[in-house]
Amino acid sequence: MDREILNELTVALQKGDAIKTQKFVKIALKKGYEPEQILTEGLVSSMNTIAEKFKKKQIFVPDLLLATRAMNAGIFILKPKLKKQLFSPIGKVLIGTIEGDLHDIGKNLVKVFLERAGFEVIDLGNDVPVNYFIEAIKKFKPQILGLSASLTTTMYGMRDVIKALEKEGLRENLLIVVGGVPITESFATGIGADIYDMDGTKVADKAKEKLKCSNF
Amino acid sequence: MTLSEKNLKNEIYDFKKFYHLIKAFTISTNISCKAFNLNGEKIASFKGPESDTSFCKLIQKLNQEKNYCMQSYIYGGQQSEKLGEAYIYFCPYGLVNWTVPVIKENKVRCFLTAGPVLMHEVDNLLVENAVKMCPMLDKRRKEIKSKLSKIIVVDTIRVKYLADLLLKLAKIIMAEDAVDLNNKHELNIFNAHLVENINEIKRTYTLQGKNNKISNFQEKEANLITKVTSGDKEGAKKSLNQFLGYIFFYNADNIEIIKCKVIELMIRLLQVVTEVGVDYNVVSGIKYKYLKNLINAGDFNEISKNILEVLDYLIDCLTPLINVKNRNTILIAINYIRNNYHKDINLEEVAAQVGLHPVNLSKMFKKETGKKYTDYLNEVRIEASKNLLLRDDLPLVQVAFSVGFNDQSYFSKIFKKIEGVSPNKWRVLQKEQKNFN
Ligand code: B12
Repeated sequence: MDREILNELTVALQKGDAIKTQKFVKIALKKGYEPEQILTEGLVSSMNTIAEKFKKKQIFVPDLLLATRAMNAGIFILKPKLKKQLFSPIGKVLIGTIEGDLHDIGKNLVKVFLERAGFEVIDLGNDVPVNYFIEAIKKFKPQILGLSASLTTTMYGMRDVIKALEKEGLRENLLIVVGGVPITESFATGIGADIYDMDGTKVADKAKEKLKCSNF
Repeated sequence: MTLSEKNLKNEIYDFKKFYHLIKAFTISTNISCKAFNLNGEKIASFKGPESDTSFCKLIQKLNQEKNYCMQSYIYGGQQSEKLGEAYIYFCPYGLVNWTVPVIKENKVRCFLTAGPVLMHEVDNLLVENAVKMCPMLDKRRKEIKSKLSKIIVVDTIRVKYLADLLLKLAKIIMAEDAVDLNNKHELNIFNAHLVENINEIKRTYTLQGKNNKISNFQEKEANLITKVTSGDKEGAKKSLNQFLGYIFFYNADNIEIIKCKVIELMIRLLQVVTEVGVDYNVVSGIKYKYLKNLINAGDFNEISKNILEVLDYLIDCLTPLINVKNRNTILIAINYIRNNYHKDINLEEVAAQVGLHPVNLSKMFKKETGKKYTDYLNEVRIEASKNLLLRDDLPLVQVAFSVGFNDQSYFSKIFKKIEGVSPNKWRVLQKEQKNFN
């Protein structure tokens, strides 16, 4: 299959052109690309290029904003195609980004991976305060809690959530998975999380494995 | 002109200048600029281009009770304060604004916000988002489209520089408070690099495994020490960043280990700079302060903040009185303050005396004397007030005025801050002592 269209998609997203991004996503779908491939090789890979350019100061925050807008526009088209019909979900996941943090692209991606793998995912969005997590866990009773943080100032918010869960007696039957740019394996263990996954691609398998081993 | 001058006067250094700034920005860029207080209420603005605001006016009227705009002003303001730089964001309706904080005496007084602009042509996504946020617009798509089309489109790079410009302008009014903001900004940049470093290690780690951990670590430390001893501040910060990236990456599960390693590093650095010739007493003074800070640090940010400060300080000690010229300038400034403290002198005036920009003087003053300009001025005033306080016949208010304060309660506050007791108490204590003798 020619990759022409994915390249065009990449260019549109990097320019922050939301309308063209949507257009190329639609064309790619029509051409028979797997929605997952469009997501990872078209949208996410462009975002990684953008992050690289930002680091090198070739682009600035306004470009990030525009690119994010285009990314969301693209995902909007892909979303219905990505969702699997879930007759009996294999588990329930609650996911959210820590308070003070607006970065939700990574989290949204992890959500897609989990849904594709057969989990039911409840998304609390971004900038979620500790007590919202607690309330939501009481309400939805998920087996898994996913936390995302992209800033050094918010990464410790994960520890706060875990501590609050312990205090409320909600920690024990919960599998906690964490991720985000500044998060590392050792940080995850340090704050008492159960699973860490660098890019979210293995999180579903790891979670299934752990759920199987324990009697959650 | 909509402004509540009275409320603002106490908050801002120089209201006229403040208002002029808003006006200058609005007219020269053709983008509205407004000031908001901490509750998100507009306190000053200059009438910008009509077209800009017709969409905002409509939406604010329809969504009155929801207050989305106000919330976004507050949120943007808080972010800009935290970051120490301009915060650029999409408002809930998808328009672009940017905000900078105005700080006086370490407290945020208000925010300056510029916008709205668009960074792209009006498209259906924008219109649909507006309708989603304000369902009453459901049947009025055409109208909002035309209103939105009147908002100017500015490309991303211009938005970045317009935001920088607004921050630069705000720093002029903030004068020396801008120093704190710059420090915050610097720390944020440092942490951003740290994240990139951790990320880098994360990626290579999965590729090549653990094997070269130790050699890398020592190499990073050696690197840092070379940079420090050669007085290369920027280079040293970079090396410190890489060093921390390593420690954080490998020991993130145990913050106590991180602290130990960073303290070890600090001690090593202190030793190195004394070997190079920095006075041990100068160095040992900060040792205990930072030892305590580091031991009590709760997370990465505090650790990196403290070790960064140590590094800064040490390199400053090392760059020994290089600039005799700076010294002289500060001496002239100090002299001027000492001779004129009883008048209403401000930083601009002192800066004019030595032919420097207020912001630069303020920076240099802090660097050379270790004190902020206002703190120093207050000290001089309080010192002078003591002579007057010894005379019982002078009421406090007069003492305050005589040494240049125009507010007695402010005088008392500062007095207490410096002397630890209120002026009245001080007076009584002095008298008791005299009687005793
Ligand atoms: C896009 C972006 C933004 C966008 C975010 C839009 C959005 N809705 O998400 C906008 C413009 C809003 C933004 C704002 C800011 N940003 Co920003 N941003 C980025 C950027 C360039 C890319 C992030 C991204 O989406 N990547 C793509 C996704 C797919 O990757 P990801 O997030 O890493 O997620 C993957 C993994 O981490 C993992 N994962 C993530 N979450 C989870 C959760 C679980 C459970 C699991 C298992 C896995 C997992 O799986 C994901 C998929 O592979 C990063 C740079 C970078 N290197 O990441 C900076 C970056 C994160 N931002 C940074 C900064 C400083 C900011 C601002 C402060 C900038 C400013 N001056 O305004 C603000 C802060 C706003 C706030 N309060 O949150 C810094 C952070 C530095 C620090 N000290 O922490 C970074 C690192 C850039 C830098 N080097 O300066 N940003």
